[in-house]
Amino acid sequence: MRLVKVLGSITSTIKDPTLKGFKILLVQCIETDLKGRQEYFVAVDTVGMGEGEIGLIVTGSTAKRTEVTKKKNVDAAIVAKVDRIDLE
Amino acid sequence: MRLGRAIGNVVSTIKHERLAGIKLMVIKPVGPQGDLEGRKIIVADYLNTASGSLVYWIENGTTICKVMGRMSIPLRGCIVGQVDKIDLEKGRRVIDG
Repeated sequence: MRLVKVLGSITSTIKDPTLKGFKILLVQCIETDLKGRQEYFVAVDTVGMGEGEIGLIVTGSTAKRTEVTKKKNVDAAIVAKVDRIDLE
Repeated sequence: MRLGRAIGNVVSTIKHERLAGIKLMVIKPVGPQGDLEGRKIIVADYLNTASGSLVYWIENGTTICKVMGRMSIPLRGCIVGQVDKIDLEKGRRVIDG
């Protein structure tokens, strides 16, 4: 899974029919020190993320392994909201 | 999915049979500030996307086969949505698709 920060939400009317009704977010990959990296994903939100919040995404076919995204044509989904990271 | 700008079309008459009839577009990866260093790639489009539109696409093979309704297509990217706008959190900047 990847650590990401939610940058904003995407409005998209013309899209694959299976994506109807999804909250679609633009997220940025971040390091554990929360510094942003030049890597972005468009991910379906399955846990109700707010803007600026930190979360975990899964990419590839595993993105379809939640009840919300099963049989949907997605390959990136936010599956967890991060409260805190404790490092050694 | 990944964010990008559709910047052109690819015409290819001689190609793998299972690519027949599939529209191919050139995509430039894009971040919220516009450009990204990533190299341009070629993806399939079935949403009648116009060149210049901001889009997002999937890279996962099995999903692409399902979208295209054909098994084992030699294809590594397919547009699944066009962006109307992105509401960015800091400074409320909005990117129009």
